[in-house]
Amino acid sequence: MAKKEQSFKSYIFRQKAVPYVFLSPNMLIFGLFIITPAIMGVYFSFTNFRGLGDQPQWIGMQNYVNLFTDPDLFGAILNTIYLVAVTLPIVFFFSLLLAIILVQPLRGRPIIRATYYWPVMISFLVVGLIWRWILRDSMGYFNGLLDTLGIGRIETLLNPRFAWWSVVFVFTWSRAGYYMVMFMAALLSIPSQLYEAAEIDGANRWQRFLHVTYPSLRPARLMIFILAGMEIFKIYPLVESFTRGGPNYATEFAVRYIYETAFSYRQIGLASAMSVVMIAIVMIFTLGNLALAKRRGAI
Amino acid sequence: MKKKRASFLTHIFAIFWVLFFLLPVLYVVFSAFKSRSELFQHIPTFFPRDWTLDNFKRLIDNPYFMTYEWIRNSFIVAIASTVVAVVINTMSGYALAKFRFKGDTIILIVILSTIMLPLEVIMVPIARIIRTLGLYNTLWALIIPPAATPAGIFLMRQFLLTIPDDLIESARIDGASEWRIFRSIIVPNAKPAIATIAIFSFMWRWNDYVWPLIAIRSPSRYTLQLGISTLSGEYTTDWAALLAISTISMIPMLVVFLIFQRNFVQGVAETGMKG
Amino acid sequence: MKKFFVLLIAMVTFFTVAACTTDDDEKVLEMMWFSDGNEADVMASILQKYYRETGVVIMLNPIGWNVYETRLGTMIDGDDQPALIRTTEGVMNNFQDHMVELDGVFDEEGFNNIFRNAAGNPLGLPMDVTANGLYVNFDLLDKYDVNYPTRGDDDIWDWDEFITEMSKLKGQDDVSYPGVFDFQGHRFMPLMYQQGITMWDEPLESMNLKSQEAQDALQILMDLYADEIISKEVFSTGAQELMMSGRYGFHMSGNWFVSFYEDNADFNWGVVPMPTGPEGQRATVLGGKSLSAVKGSGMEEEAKAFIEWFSQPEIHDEFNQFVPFLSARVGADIDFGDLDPVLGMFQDEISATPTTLTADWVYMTQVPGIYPMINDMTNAAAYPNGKSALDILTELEQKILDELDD
Repeated sequence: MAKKEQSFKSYIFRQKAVPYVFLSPNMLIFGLFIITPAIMGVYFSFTNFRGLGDQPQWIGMQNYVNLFTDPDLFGAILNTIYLVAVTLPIVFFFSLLLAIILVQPLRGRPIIRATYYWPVMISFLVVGLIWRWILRDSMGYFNGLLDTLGIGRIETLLNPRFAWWSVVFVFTWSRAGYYMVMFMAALLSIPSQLYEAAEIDGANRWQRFLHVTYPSLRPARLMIFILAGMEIFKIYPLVESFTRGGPNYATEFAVRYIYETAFSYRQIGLASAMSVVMIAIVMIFTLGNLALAKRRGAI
Repeated sequence: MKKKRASFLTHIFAIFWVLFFLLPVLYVVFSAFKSRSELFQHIPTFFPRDWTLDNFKRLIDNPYFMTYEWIRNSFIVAIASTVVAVVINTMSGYALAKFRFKGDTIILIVILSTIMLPLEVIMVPIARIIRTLGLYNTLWALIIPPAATPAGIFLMRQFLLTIPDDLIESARIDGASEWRIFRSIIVPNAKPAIATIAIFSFMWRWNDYVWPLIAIRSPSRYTLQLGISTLSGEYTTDWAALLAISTISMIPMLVVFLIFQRNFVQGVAETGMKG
Repeated sequence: MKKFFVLLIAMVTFFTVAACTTDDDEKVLEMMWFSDGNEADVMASILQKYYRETGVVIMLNPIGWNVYETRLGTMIDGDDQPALIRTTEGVMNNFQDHMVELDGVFDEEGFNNIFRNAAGNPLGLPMDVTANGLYVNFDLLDKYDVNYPTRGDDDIWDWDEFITEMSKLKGQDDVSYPGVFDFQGHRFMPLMYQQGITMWDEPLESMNLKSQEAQDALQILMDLYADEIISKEVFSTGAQELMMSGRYGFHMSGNWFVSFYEDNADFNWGVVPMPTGPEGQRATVLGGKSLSAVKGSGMEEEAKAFIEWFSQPEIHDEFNQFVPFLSARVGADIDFGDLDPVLGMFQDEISATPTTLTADWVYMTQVPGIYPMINDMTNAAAYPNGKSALDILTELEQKILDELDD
């Protein structure tokens, strides 16, 4: 009897341990390579660390004080928030549009779907190069085309506004396919009875979209909104190879600015403080979205 | 419902976007076959006037473009990391989907919040850890740490939620060990999700830029992306080499994609977005 | 299917292990390097020679310029330094606590343009000197009757004449812009010196940046941009690439592009004297790359030995001849063959620059983070957003003095 109880106890213990065991490889990696460095980063943000084998010296809130008086950082963060605000709706509706096209009974649909998705498979680094190669002012294909068509050349990547909107465009070009697939999955899972019912009620296409399709996409919409938003906040390799933050800092966004502070000026401490601020903003964005969605009952 | 084809106009519209996504890439690929002087044309042509392999030859001839090693390393990293990712993400997804335990919500939140963190801003501490563990300048540093993808875990969790609990319970009553349940019930049922994670993971690792930048110092250990990123001098950008190497870097993606894109879209359809 | 996967995993494991462990533990020196042209090839052949003479293996590790300093920082932080490194003044300046002091390693009298730390110790062996100069597209200039001075002319142009002549190119069908300036602030500094003024009033103490002369100099650059004599595209595309299209008349840059144009240009190109200031003053900024040793590599002595070997005239000259670069060695007389007139032009610019001005620049390079600061200034000159030359220069002076305060 005692023995049986013993083994039952150990059974329960084992049962309790099972999920942790299954989780352990992943959590070990997260702990070592993401969470520990993040905590170290927070610590560095209170020091004058330069990342050259020196010992970090505690300087309290000095970095935070400094960065609140840094107009360039403020500019880069604001620029990033604008970018998110502008790009997010564009990516969102464009990928929804592509998904709607693809759920139509098209001839050769797999090939069409494949080409829509294809840019997702290309690294940001190469995407940036592709578009720099096409859009550069004097020898780019885009301006050459305008020239041949008699429209006349325009300032492209040397015009701050054009360059900024190009980042919006290129990001959309490269990522729309990804979100499109998510939308497609959601669209395909809408029960067809809903549409049939709407048709019987005499709803036209647009009304059906507005009253059946769009509301049914709610969970997908939320997820895409959050994922795409975070992705745009973190934009870096794309701008690095596309515009290098130029012209005149028009495409200098938060991560690039932090990176430059850390590695061109070797101010790891200050850069860490900037990271903390930036991550706080991303978190507010994400949690805000979740809270909003919760209040509306989406999750 | 009877099947009917979409209208002609819808087709035209769909094909317009095909060109929108395809032509820019094709232009760059064609540019890689242009001669040096054609690369500096005021009004460039879409197709090369004289097709040439010179740019690719440069990659091979110049001993400092270790193109072969870079391609090999990229393959090793992408495949090995994918294998690891599939195993550990499936395990974690299973734990999070089918067990209630202390701290489960917190763990899920922690995992998801790591998506928010741009690695670029914590490169210095990551480099220190990698070095402490002796992984510096080894491909292991590109295989192990990135394998724990939050998105992969989340995908697997969502998918496994749809597997009925009864299946697992009855196996447990039959006295099957937990590992056995995992292997013979979870894994076979999770195949679509596994395929999705595998393809995603391969793509992510192939395109990775930040991890190699942090962890690798010897050119013979570079991956293609790191090689691409280092192709510029203080004053010059070597477009000829860049175009050629970028073209090469896209080929494996194309192959993987053409083979798996069906599974891929199905995988996502059956996975993430159901609930 | 299962077999296939087992096979796949086995293969991957094999390759991974092979790739992760095959590191020759043989002690070799590492030389970190970046290239703008063929410098790595030339260096590699010299390292071969060193190996034949001494049996010491030095491995060249070329790294792209845009991650160069990031990588060096990571290496130093990880106590994993390369023994030797090719440096610019910027690199030596940013990492000066980590560079081996080279006093006594080579004959300091024998080299120009040595970069020293505050204690006066050299931190690198100067390999080449760079001078600014004006590349031109002769085909385009001749086609539109642009007059220009050539090497050896007594009466060369000043900036007003230069602008008048180059304006002839404006609006022509096969001309995009009359010319381009490299975006780097470093390329603007000659204009300042041509006005006959030093930047430092008292070295590392007070500055002349707010003087009328300095404002005049910056105003020239601002007008060149505003009047569309030069293209702003240099901020996103290399000026030399633009020049290569054959649609630009001139390129204000430096001698490091000689081999680039030699290899790539399909138009008649050359170098002509830079314009002078109002008093006829000619000036260039003197720069250059050096060879430095890094502290903490555990190979400092071996590295010093190599630097000493490399400082021998015949080795040093071999490097500069084959790149080709202007030598930093005093009295070097290198035969560049067909390129002699071109490199001679740069040499002339150096000779025409008074030593007070070159010395002034050396103090400038000792300001931490100076290069990004002056790059910001030329950026502001192209995109002034309503700021005057005085505003921009005041900002720069403030930044420099703040940096010196720390």
